[in-house]
Amino acid sequence: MTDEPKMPATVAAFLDSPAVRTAVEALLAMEAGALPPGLEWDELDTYYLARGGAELTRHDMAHFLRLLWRTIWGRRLGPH
Amino acid sequence: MGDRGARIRAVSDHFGLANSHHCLHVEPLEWLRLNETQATKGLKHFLASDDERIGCFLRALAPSIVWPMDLEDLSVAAEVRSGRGRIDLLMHGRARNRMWGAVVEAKFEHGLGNNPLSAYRRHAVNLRMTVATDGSAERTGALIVVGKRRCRQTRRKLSRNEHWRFVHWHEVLRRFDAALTELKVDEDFRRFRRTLWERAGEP
Repeated sequence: MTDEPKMPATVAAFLDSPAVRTAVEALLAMEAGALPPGLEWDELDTYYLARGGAELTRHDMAHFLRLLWRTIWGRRLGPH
Repeated sequence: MGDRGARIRAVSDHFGLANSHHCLHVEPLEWLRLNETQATKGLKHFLASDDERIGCFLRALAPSIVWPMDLEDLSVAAEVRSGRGRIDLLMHGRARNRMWGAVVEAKFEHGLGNNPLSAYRRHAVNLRMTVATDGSAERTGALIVVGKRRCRQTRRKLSRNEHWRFVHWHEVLRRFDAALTELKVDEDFRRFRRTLWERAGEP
């Protein structure tokens, strides 16, 4: 029996809260290197922290899904 | 990569999700796809019911202006005739013997081609707003195109119209929703803003 993968707090918040999900999706919709038009200079700090959180959520989601796949199917369906 | 709880809280903090009034806490109306006129008339309807809302919206549109907290005689109007066109949303009020406010051109997909921005600017000046470059302490009026994307045509038009600034709908709504404080949540207004958010995020 393999241990259950632990869901990261980022993924839990993304799945639990529609507000967080919408905010993360809005941040990830912005092209890399671009800033939302109308963002103020003094909002850059919190914006980049938020964008970092959104990118980490994307990473954690992919990593967590891969762990889930491995836990559920093991090597029976080939290496993934 | 640090504390995940803190990293996701940074998202919540930037959007002001701790505010119970925030529109992202509800779902959009799936059956309503707003057009530009519906968006501005809807905003006018909901903002007109409370001076605090107008002040909050002005600050969300142009945070770099030092808006006075004691604005009086506040008004908001939609579809105001000006020159050969109509101003989508016009807000103004008085404080310290000066006129403060904003002229807003609202866009979703349509370009700025037929909008006489210079006439709209004169309208603001005739109302005795001081329009100036960002950061000027004298500035009492904001000229804002609120839209989804700054396409080439929009950039070209704005480059010929000094003092106008493009702001994404989401930036305005994010700041407004983070700052809105009222005794009771206005569910109709909140649902309207959430539907507007969804409309502005369409690819």
